[in-house]
Order: sequence, then structure tokens, then C-alpha cells
Amino acid sequence: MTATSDTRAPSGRSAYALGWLRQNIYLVLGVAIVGGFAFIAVFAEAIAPYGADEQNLLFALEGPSAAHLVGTDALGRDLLSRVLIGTRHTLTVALTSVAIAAMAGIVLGLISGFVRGWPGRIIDAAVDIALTIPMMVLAIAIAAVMGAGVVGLIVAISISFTPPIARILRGRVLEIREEDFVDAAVMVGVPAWKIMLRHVLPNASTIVVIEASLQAGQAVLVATALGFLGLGVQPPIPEWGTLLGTGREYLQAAPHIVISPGIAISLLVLGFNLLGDGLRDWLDPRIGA
Amino acid sequence: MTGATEATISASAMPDTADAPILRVSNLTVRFEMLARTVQAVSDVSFEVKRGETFAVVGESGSGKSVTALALTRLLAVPPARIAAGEVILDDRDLLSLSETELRDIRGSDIAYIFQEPMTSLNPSMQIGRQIAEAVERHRNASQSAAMARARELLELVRMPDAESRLAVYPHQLSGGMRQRVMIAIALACDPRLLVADEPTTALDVTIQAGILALLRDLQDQTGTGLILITHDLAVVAETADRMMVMYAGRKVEEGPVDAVLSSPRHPYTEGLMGAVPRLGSSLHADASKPLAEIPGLVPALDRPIAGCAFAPRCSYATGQCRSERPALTTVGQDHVSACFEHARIGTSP
Repeated sequence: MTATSDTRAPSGRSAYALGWLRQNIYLVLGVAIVGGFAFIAVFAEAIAPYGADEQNLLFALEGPSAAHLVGTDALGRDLLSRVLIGTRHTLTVALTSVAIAAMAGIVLGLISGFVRGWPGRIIDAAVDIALTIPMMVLAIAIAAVMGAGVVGLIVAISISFTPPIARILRGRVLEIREEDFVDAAVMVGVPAWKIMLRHVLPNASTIVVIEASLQAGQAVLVATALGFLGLGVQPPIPEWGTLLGTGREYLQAAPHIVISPGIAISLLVLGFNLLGDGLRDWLDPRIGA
Repeated sequence: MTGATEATISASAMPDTADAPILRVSNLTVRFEMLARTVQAVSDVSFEVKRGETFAVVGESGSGKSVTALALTRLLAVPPARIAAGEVILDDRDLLSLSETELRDIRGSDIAYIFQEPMTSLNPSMQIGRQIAEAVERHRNASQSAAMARARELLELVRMPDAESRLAVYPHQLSGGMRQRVMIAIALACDPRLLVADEPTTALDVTIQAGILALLRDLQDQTGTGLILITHDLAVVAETADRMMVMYAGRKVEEGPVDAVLSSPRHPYTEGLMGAVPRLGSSLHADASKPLAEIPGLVPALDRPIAGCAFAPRCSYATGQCRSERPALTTVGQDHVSACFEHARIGTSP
């Protein structure tokens, strides 16, 4: 066994790379899917066979054909083009709101974990309360108050996604605060805010990165759900949830309209989830499954 | 043992240029106040450290030596800890009454701390050059490049091979001994007057230990820093310290020059600690068949007051008086004090 398999084994470096790929297959798939959508989002106009708003009423509600690979909608617009161009809107909303939520969550989580006494306790209680409200309900409520539109959508998602990040970071900060190197920094005379930013946050950052990438998938779901309900991005902008919402009216006559945005949503959410899981396995083997 | 001890002591004897102590701890008492009970971890401990002197604090786990060190640097988390009484005077300033801001100016520049665990005392996500430079920047108002240059100097000072290239290295790329050298470099960054080293070599191999201790001693010769060495290792004490204090159950039980204490201990606990040290080559002696001595019993719980001497239940010299009355510290020799009624009998029985 040993002699033959040794000679047949690939050279050290490629064996290592292969092993790494196999071990981090989730990460690879997640990066590929999310990267693919990001590419589409940037170069959507060049890739799309038609313009997003190019109408041809003669071909309205048509099923898949050579000219329109996944069919057309009620106004005869090419659905493939609308989904491709819509990638930009969905992705922008999801990533922007997760980025804002991550930043707010980092500030709140750092303070509530590191500062002993009332500032930490107040934040902690507020986060506790926010976590009892289902994320989707909270987002719908905020969107309803803010009014429909991209800004309202981003505000709604960022606010409802901040508490989980604050909570998960707080736990990690509580752990790191007890580490010797934090005491060592205190003992050198480093002020508390610098210890938070320089010694605590960098060592807690992986958990935020992992949580944020998992949240991005959730953000896609919330953004498209709000779009579907008419609380998100408004037509004629071809955001995926909005595409689903308008397609719903023709569900009986032309079910193909909702299929392509539906697949796009599922695929992107899957991509973010794989990315999050993959990052977790790769960056933090201790908590990996 | 005695011969070897005396040799090392005379070698490490310090010129008494300044006899005024740089640190004076008096009547330090530390309590941990929890819901159900209060533990008095340190009771009424007083000592002084002079310039250029190495002062060893010895005791087994739970004797209060680490709490003493943490209390005098104000690193204890308050609450649950409370410094109930005492003064810690460093150069005419009482550290216990300083505000956090004032403390920050003193920490790192006047008083520095070397932690026990070199594996966890460095920030894993920061290059070691940056970590050393941080202390310099903080206290010297140095520019980043000047601080880096100083960091390189410090790495050379602690005999880090290839210092220049090690500046950009992360802690996980260094061995335990090398990390402890980095910790010492950080501690020395601003020429502190007083260095507190809490078991600086306990986590290291014996060979690395010797190197680190020699390094500390040399650096101390160069800088005149006072060193408080917390340890349970009497070999380390014999090798490096000038004076020593033995702690038991949160109290000082014996204090004196290292050679005096180790050659004629005047407290049964000190004697017991010495008996529990294995000695290489002891099999050549007549007592080869004698098993390694241990001190029977455990350190007492400190959550209620102890009547009499805390060590009495484990002590072979104990009398009725020991169990009812706490012995005060009495002078038993030149600069040598002991808290034992029976100090004259130590070394005479079993």
C-alpha cells in the first residue's frame, strides 16, 4: 500500500492545494456563486441580451424561446435581462445594509462587552429586547414607517440585523477581555479605547466576518420579501423581490415569470450561506461543524 | 544546597548606591467580596523593594502572592476584589489612591509587569514590533519610526537573535522563551523603576528558564530596576533574589536576606517548602531512601477568620499557643523576621 500510493501521489504542493480545496469546498462554492453574482451585478448591461425596460408588447407573457431564454413579462420585457440587471439592486441593498449593520453591531458589541457598568448594561438590555422581535416583522415595521423605497429598505434591514451582530461580538469580547494580553496592554498604560480597537477587535473580527456573510443571505431574503410585499424597491426597477411581486398577478397564465427571479434568489442565498459556513470552517476550526 | 546558595548570593549582591526603597507596601489587605462569602486573600502585608534589588515573594498556590502583585499594580478587577487597607508607595505616590488616568501614566513607564504565560500575554493578531513600539509611543511621545527603532534596540537588548527581521513577526511564529523575551522587552520599553514578574519562567523549559533569569539579572544590573519576583520555585529564588518574603494564607510569615532564610529558615512553612524541593544527586547521600518531603494538609480556606497561626494544623512544631493566638512578626536575625512562636526550635526536630 505504502510504496505504490506514495509514487502515485501528486507532488507535495499540489496535494496540499487539493486537500485544502476539498476541505474547504463550501468556501470555494460560496466564493464562486457570490463572485459570479457580483460579476453579473457589475457587468449586467453588457451581459444582458436586452435592456431592462425594453418593451415589446407583441411578445408579452411569452414562455422560454430562443429569443427570450426564460420568457417575457406582461409588458414583453426580457426576463433574463431584468433578472441579470436586477442582481445589482438586490446585491446592493443586501450588502449595504449588512455593512451598516456590521459597523453598528461592532460599535455596540465592543462597548457592551468591554465597558463595565451602565453603558454596557443599557446596550445589552436594548439588544436583548430587539432580539425578541422577529427580524422580518421588525424590518416590515421599519419599512412601513420609513415608506417604500431603497433607502427605507436599507435602513430597515440594517436596524434589524444590528442586534445579532452586537450580541455575537459581545460574547467574543467578554472572552477576549479576560486574556492576558489585554491585561498586558493595560499594564503598559494603553487607554481603554485603544485596547478595544487594537487588541480586542482584531481578535474578534473573524466572528463578525462570518456572521455578516451569513447575514447577507438573510438580507437578500428580507430585501426580496419586502420588495415582493411592495415595501421595498419600487417598479419598474427590476429588483428580484419586485419582479416576484409583479409576476404574482400572472401566476396562473404565466408561471415562468416568477421562476427565474426565484431561482436567482435561492442561488444567491445559498451562495452566501455556503460562504459563511466555509469561512467559519476555514477561519475558526474550533466552532466548525 | 547551602554552599551553592551562598555562592550565588554573593555574586548577585547589589551595590547599595541608594538605600531608599523605591516601593513601600504597608499593611496591604485585599478582600474578594462575593455574594455568599468574603475571602481575605491578602492580610496586612508590608514590604519594601530597594533600587536594583530583587525581592522574591514565595509561597504555594493560594498563598496570596499573585494577588499581592496584582493589587499593587491595581490590575485586580474591582469588584469583586477590594483593597480594604494599606498603602503602596512608589516614589512618594500612593498607587492605591491614583485615578485611572494617573495610573495609565505610571503603568509601563514607572512600573511594569511580566506575566506568567508568554503564550497568551501577547496579542496574537499584532506584529511584535508594533506591540513593543506601542509602549514606547504611549510614554515617550515618540513618532512611529522612532518607536520602531527603539523596539529593535529592545529586542537586541533581550538578546533576540535576528532582531531586525523579528519586528514583523507574529507571536505564533515564536517559541515560548522567545515570547517571554518579547514580554521583557515590552516591560523594559520605558526603563521602569520597578518590574513585577509573576512566575516569569514557570511556563518555560528549565534550560530556557536559566537563560531568561540570567537575562533579567543582567538587565537589572544595567538599569538598576527593582524587581519583584513572584515564584514558588526556591531554586529560582536562590539563584536570583537578594531578599525574600514567604507568604502563607495571605500573610507574610518570614522575610529576610535570601542566604539567611535559605540557610536557616525560621518558619516551619519555609522549612517545609525547602524540604519539598527535589535535589539532583541526593541519591548519593545517605538519605537516598528518604522520600521527598511534603507538607501535610492543604492551604486553609480564607473565607472565615483563622484563630491562631494559619499554619498550625500542618505544623510539626505547633503548640497550644499556636492554635489559639496568632504569632506576630518578630526579629530573628539581621533583617530577618518570622511569624512563629517556636522559631528557635526550627531545624531541631523531625
